[in-house]
Amino acid sequence: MGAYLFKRLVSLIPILFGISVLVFTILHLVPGDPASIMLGTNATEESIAALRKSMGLDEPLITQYLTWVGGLLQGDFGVSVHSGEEILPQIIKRFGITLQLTVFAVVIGWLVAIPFGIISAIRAHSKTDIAVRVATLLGISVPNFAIGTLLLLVTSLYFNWFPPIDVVSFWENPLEAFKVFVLPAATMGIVVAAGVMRMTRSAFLETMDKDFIRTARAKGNSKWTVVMGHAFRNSSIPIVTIAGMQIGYLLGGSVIVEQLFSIPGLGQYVLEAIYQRDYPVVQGGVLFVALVFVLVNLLIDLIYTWIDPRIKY
Amino acid sequence: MTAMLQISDLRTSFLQAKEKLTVIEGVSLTVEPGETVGVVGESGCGKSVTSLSVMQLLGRNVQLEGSIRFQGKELLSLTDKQMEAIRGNQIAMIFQEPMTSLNPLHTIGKQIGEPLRRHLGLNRQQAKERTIQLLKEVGIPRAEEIINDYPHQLSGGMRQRVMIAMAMACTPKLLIADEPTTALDVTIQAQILELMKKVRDEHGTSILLITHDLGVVAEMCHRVIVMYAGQIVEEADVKQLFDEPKHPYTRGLLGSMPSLNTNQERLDAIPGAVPLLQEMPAGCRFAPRCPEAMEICRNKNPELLTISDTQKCRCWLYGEEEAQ
Repeated sequence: MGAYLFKRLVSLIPILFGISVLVFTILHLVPGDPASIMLGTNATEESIAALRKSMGLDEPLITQYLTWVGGLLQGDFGVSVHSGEEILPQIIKRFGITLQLTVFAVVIGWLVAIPFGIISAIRAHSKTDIAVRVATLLGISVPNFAIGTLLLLVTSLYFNWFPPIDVVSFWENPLEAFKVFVLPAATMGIVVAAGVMRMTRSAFLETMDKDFIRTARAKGNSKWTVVMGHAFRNSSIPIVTIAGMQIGYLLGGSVIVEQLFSIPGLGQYVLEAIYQRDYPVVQGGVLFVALVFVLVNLLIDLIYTWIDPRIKY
Repeated sequence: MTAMLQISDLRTSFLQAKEKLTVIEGVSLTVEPGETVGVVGESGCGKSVTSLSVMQLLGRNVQLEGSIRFQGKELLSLTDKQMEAIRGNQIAMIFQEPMTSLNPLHTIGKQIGEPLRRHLGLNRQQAKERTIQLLKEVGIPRAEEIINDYPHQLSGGMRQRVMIAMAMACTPKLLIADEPTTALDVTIQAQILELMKKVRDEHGTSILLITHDLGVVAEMCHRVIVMYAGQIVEEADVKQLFDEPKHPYTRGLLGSMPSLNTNQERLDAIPGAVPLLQEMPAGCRFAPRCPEAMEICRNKNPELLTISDTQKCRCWLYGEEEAQ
């Protein structure tokens, strides 16, 4: 296990290196640079050139890349060319918000998806199953922004309720934070639920057909024990897999939902930086998201060994 | 004396979207206390479905008609909860594939302990002690360590011993064994049969043994029921069946068994295959494959005729008076 973990962590190096090259190259291929965007359309050639020089943007690309990576290796993400703020503390702060939103969304999603997915599987082809599957299809096919807007409209028009503007964390004020996050989390939760529900249904359908389920019933277990005690854990690997991937994506910041609900999360941070061609912020942000994604996947792989004793690394 | 198990005129049907497929047609059989009854036949003749009907483990789209009495109590009129209290407790079952029939994610100890805790109300510690004792009874060495192992860490024979320990946990009155040795190596098969005999003799358990292996029947059973295409075609004491098989199908089965005593060049296989449910012959279901088929066989299905006190057979060869 220790050796496996070491190997996986070492394999992070080429992954992160590749991503850093990719994001750096793509970003510098995009027309427009921070200097010209900061100075606006009326700026003179000379002032732009001067600003570029002071930002180090006149250096050859390879030098710029090496400077950036050199900083990263020392734990220095650099400063935003736009605001002059240190990037890493900002990323961590924004990530904290996105993390809370993600956890909330995932809790909502799973609470709906897993019970309904199970019912849908053990009552396959019944009316309940059909209703659940239609709902799943809707959840998958209706886009995020439509669901979010709809939720906002319904709560504001019919219940005269608006989420608070100021974002507070669950640590400071749980009730207020609940109000802030409930709508965006529900929006994301619906999408999470749809994916997890599908997977739960198909995984349970497969497991319930297995011989050991028949054995469990032959032992006189109640339906509840058969489903929760025997089928659940045996169905959980694909569910955990899809859930892990969803968490990975959501932790990267759900750009649309954060934008829609004005949540200053990681997605919004990077999106604004892209508009401003704030190179170090975009690069640092993307690299951080990639790191989180890979780590979440590693965690999922470790959870497998806990679920299934046959999986050994 | 009430029979341990008395199945009368059982009809098991699978309800499809448009049609009803009757897999078991009018099966009646009795297992007396302490008796081992074998059910033999080719694959697809309804042996397993019969045994799963008794346990009511066939799922939701199945219709059971007729009567299944266990110690005089009608099982088909029980509620799900009442049936759960009998399964694994008074009637237990052993399956063919010990690998897939054990939950891969639960330890051996947990799986054997489950019926003990559920039916006998033992606590964790008591269940553990009893489990170790059961594992020792079925000949598993290092039982104290094995209880913490998972099925994949055991060999096939060991797993089947675990299945037997699990089935015997609550000392059931009736044990249904569905091809218990089919998936095992020949040397292991003999050990498992010995073990089943030992368990049977120690506890006086009745056994309904489903198998396609006539060697297993000869080894284990007192009485044999031969099934073909969802019906019983012959029933006899085990010696009678081997000495004077009546039904052409039974003779075919015996003829397809290799023997050391006779100098056979090749085995006599029964030509053809079991008919599909949708294409059951109008007359005797075996007629299309029967070497002795007559005119009547193709038109009319014979009844199960009583040949003697201990032998019954479903064949026109023994009902000529009626046939003519």
